[in-house]
This record gives sequence, C-alpha cells and structure tokens, in this order.
Amino acid sequence: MEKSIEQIWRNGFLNEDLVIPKIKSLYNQKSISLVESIINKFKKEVLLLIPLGILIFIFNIILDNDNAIFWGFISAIPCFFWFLIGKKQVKSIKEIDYKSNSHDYLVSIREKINQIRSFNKRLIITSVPLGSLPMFIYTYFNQQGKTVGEIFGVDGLNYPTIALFLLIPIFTMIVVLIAEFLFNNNTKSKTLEIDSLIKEMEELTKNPLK
Amino acid sequence: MSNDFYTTSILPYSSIIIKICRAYSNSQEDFEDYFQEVCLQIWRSRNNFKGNSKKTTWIYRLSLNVCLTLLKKEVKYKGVHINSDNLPEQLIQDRQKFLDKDLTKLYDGIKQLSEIDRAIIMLYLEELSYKEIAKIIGSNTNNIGVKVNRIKNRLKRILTENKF
Repeated sequence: MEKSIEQIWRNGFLNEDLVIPKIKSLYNQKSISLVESIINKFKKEVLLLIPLGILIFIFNIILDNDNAIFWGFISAIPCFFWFLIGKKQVKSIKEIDYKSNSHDYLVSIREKINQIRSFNKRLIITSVPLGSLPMFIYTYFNQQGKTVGEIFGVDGLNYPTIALFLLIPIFTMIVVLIAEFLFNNNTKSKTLEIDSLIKEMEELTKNPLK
Repeated sequence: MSNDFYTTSILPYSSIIIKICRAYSNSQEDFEDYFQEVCLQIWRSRNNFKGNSKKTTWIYRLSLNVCLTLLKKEVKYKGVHINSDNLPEQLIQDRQKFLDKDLTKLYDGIKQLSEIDRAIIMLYLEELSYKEIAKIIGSNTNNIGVKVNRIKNRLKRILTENKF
C-alpha cells in the first residue's frame, strides 16, 4: 500500500538524523551586498554629473550671453571635474580588501564613506566659489552700472553690481545643501544599515557565538 | 548570541528551523545561510517574545518570515556570495539529500508548491492544529482546513506525476 504523506514525513524523520549546520562566518553576504548597493548608488550619482554638465552647457547657450559657448564650457567644467573625482572615489571603495572579516570590512567602508563625504563637502566649499568667481568677475566688469535685478532680469533686486559677489556664498550653500540632500536620500539609509550591522557584530563578539 | 542563548533558544527548536529552512532552500549552502539567518533573527527578536503564544508558534512564524524574506532577496544575493565551500554542484545537492528516499521525494514535491502552500503543509506535517497554523499564517481556521486538503491532493498529484 502506498504510504501517506504524513507517514513518509513521520518515518522519514525517525531515520533522519537532523544535523545542525555549523554557524558560518557571519554577515558575509549581507555586508558584501550592502556595500555593492552603496557602490551602485554612488556610481549612478557620479554618472549623473555628465548629463548635468551637458545641461549646464546647453543652459548657457540658451541664455545667449556673449561668448555663450566659452562660458557654457567653463561652467560645465566643475561637473566633469567632480565626475573624475567621483569615479576615483568609487574605485577607492571597491579597492577595500574584504580580509575575510565582515566587521573590519564594514568599518573600513564606513570610514571611507565618511572620508569621501567630508572631502566632497570641502571640495564644494572651495571649488564652487573658485569655479564661479571668474564668471562673476566677468559679469561684474561687463555689466558695470547695472543693478543685480537688471543683470538677471528680475524686478525688485535693486542692488549695486558689487552685490553680485554675495551670490557666491549663497550659490555655494545651495550646492552643499543639494549634495547633503542627495547623500541623505541615497546613501544615508545604507550607512545607517552599516552602523547597525557593525553594532550587532560587536554585540555578538562580546557574547561569542556557539 | 551567547552559548546560553543558543542552548535555551536555538537547540530545542533546531528541528523546526532545520525543516523549514530545508523546505525553502535549494542547496546546502543556501540552507546553512537560511538557518544562520533564522538563528540571528531569533536572537535579534529575543525581547519581542511576550509569551502571548507558544514559543514554538513564535519560532515557526519567525522562521517562515525569515525564509520567505530571504527567498525574495535570493536573486539580489546571487553573484555576490563569497567564502563558499567551492563544492561541485552535484556534491552540494547530495549533501542536501536525506537518508530516507521517500522523504527526499516528499521534500522535492513540497518545493514545487507555492511559498504559502509550502508553509501550510510543513506546519500541518508538524502536527500543528489548524488553529495554530491559522495563527502563524494569519488566516482563519476553516480556510486552513480547506487549503490543507487541496495542498495534500496537489502534493499527491505532484508525487505520482513526477515519479521522482
């Protein structure tokens, strides 16, 4: 007579010696896939700088200022410059050696992300004013006597031409805020995940695993 | 996870965890990952068990949740796995086979069922009442009764048609 499903199950486990799998080195997959996803997101952000540079160039052409191509090119340079730096930063994350230890690996990744983040912030704070200064100087001499409102075609901004330079810190702040927003939106949740994994691993180390 | 925790909260329930992990994994390596993840989840959620249900019910529910979540993530994990045993595929499959041939066939059949049906039949085979199964799955008792019969019929059909 054919055995019932229930019988097969019951008898099967009478003969079957359930062997508990040994606990393998923890978090391998988890930490690697987490880092992979951070790298992928970071890569996408870096790649976005290319269309952004092109858009800035096109925007300058559309504005139809004097020497629009030249100024378009100048304004787009920072994007390409950041693209190259970003590519190098992605590579530096990829190059972090796994060392067969998830904890050390994640700690190194976390440090690297912090380094990159603070470097990028410093880079924006220095390169945005430096990169935009020539444009503002050019505009200042080219548009002498006009108010800021007249230069940008906005009513009510009746400030002297020299006030143009006040736009540099404002512009820099905006770029910093955009960079922070992108980080919070794309990478922050992943870095928090790294932090919680590191914390969990440290807790597990205190109470060693069977 | 202290040894104490392992002895009191993992070992007594290891057969439950092993059976569920086996039903949802396709290789020895996957099985070990699933088992490990379930153990870790039990450890992480250790303070969430309030004693409102039996500890076994809680373990079943937790194991099923972890396995189903891992199953969904499986595609993501593929290709990034390291530290594998580098075993040939055949050897990995062999390690997953059971001593009992009929049991192996039954497991292969169970793996052909949908994720939820797999959970229901596993719990039924573990001799849990329909009420307990309903509690774990989040359904009602009558529905489970009907489902169990359907799944058993489907399973019988799979086993006879495929003649593994």
